[in-house]
Amino acid sequence: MSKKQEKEPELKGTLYSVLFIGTFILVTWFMAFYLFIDRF
Amino acid sequence: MTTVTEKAKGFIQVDKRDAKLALAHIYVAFIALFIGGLCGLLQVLVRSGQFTLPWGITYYQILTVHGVLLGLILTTYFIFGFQIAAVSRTAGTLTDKQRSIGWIGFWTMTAGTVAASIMVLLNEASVLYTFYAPLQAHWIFYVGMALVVVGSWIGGIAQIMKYVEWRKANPGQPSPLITFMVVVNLAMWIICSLGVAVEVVFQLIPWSLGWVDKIDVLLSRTLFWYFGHPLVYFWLLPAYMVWYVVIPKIIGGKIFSDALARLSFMLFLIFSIPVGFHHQLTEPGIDSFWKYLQVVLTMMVVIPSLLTAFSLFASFEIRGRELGAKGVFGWFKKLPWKDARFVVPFIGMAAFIPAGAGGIINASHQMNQIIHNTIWVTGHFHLTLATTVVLTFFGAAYWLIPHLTGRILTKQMNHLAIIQAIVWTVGMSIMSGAMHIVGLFGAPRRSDFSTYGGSEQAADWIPYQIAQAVGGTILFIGIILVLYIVAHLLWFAPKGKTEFPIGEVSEHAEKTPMVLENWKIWLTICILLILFAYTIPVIDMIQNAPPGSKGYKLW
Amino acid sequence: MHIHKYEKWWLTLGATSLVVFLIIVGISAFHYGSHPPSAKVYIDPERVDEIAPFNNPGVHKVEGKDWDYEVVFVASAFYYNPPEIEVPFGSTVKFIATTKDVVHGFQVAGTNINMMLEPGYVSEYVTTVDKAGEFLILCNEYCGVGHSTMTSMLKVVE
Repeated sequence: MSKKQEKEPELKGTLYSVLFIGTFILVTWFMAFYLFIDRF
Repeated sequence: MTTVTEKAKGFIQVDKRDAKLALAHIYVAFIALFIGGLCGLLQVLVRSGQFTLPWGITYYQILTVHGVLLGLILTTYFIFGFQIAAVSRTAGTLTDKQRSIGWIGFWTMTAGTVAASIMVLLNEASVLYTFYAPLQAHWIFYVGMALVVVGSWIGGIAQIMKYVEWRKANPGQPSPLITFMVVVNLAMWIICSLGVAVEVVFQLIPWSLGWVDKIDVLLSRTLFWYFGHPLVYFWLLPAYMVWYVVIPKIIGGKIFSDALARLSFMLFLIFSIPVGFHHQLTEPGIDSFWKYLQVVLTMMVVIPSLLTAFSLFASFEIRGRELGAKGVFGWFKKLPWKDARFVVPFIGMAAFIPAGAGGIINASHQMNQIIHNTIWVTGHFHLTLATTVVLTFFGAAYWLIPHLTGRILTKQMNHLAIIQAIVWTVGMSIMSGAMHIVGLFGAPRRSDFSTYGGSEQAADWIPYQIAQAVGGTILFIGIILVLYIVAHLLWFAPKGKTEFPIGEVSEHAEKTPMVLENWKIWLTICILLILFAYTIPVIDMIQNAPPGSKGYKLW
Repeated sequence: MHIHKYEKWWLTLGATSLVVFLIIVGISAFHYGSHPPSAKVYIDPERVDEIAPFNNPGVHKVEGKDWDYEVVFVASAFYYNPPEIEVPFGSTVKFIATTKDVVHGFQVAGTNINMMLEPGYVSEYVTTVDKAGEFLILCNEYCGVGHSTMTSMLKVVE
């Protein structure tokens, strides 16, 4: 099915899209963590 | 691979007899959607403080109906209808024996559903869908629940038998991807529902019948959550099947990688189950160490979702570039934005971003104290289940039902389906958004309208509760719309042939390693992880158990 | 199995983030003692009223412990006893609670105090009350028809 040494498809848009998701997860998590630290 | 033969034959039609079995499940699912949705509407209205239920019906009674019908019945029935059709479509028509077993499963589940529903309607079982002891429902409610689970095992076995038959007939070959995924989902379901079955059969039923006086509360909750978290993955995996296998075909592209798709499903199988303690993080009687250990395993189950996000974007981008898209994001515009079969599940995918982020927060050990049992949690699973999963199911229904009934989705219905999804998005953004925010303020879930003795804090929650009512009302309009479309597809749409879209694997993708289909390995890891995560804390729970609890009926 | 270069980057970033989350909550718990409420103290749920400290619910000043006050709560359908408590601003308080009947919740709205109360078990949580004001205590686990009327009040006074 696969030919060896094939060129990888261009996936720059995919990379930026998942990086957006990653950033979103990080930001919301640290916001929640801050809330936890701030409260008694 | 099946792809070559498929091209030669045009598209494959699910056998009429299998279609009938699948449709039977789908009927029940949408009836449950209507009744459960109506109860949801009543709940948000009550909680706005502007409305009281008539005829002595209580808030918790309709909340039980809402949870049981939408969380357990709608999901399980739609999933089974979809999975039966998918197996029949890709692994071949069921044998008469397999189909009969499928019907036995259907009727067993349905008998259980009816029995449990009657008890809830009689107000003998207002215990919510989690039925936590020592609140004690009528024994018939528990028997009904047990029948639903046992029926799902029977129906599940019919699907697994087809897979086994296919493997025997095609030695050394990877099975059709979606059939493989169905079997992973069923394996997970059977392993996890053993927990709730033990709880119901050995604890709740003897206790509600009066054969034993007392119940071990913590053990019953632990058995429930051993089941309860994989339950949410049992809902999610069929949505992932649609995303991995069906959506690439709809957009005219290819499956990015068969191997990665199988790998992510196997990761779900092994990491979905040994994580139930993240629902019990604030409970006494379980050591913080074991809670943390399951939190670690919970984070592992995020990884297959990260893999999935990449694979989906990749199949979109590759397709867009084939169509001539330029730039980093040009491919986005090339997606079929006028095709409901794509747009509706796509909104579901987008909703999974905040849903997943919220889920990671919920499972973060002591941070769970911020949100535990607040209405934030309700907001969270209305994004996961009631948006991601449900919109994907709606999107699937728009080709699945006409495929099974021999009809077509007309242009107008396609258009209405997109409007439905937009209505849903608006309603859910308002309702779930309000729930998330006010949950952080401390407003509880599963609670009737209350001013909490005139508390100032609670007074601040009321505007958000009104927003929930607005959002919930919009969502109910969404339910009416989808039921209209479904009714049209079942009985009124023009006759014709509709494709059951099954994607082909990209020619760039690597050959699938057969180890991904080696059940001995994966099931062994799955069982070992469960034993690792649960053995010591459960032994501790049993050895140190305090005196048990008698039953209470406080509603 | 071949994996795209960007996918490797993404999985590395994702997995690293998850590990960071786990390290942060792990250190908070096992180094700084910020555990979720996980007491392993047992009680006969039918004899709660006779057993110390639940035979005397309320606020108790204590000496020689890591906390200044012990606050003892007894929950039952659909009440908390005591219905209101007052503790001084800045004091370290140990909340000790249990239930006489079904499962209840014990949540102080707008704070991290949030624990399940289960028959047969004592729930405990220690915290320093560093914000003044009135905080609603409410039951956040469905316990029956009066569930949403089950409240108490925490007053943190200067």
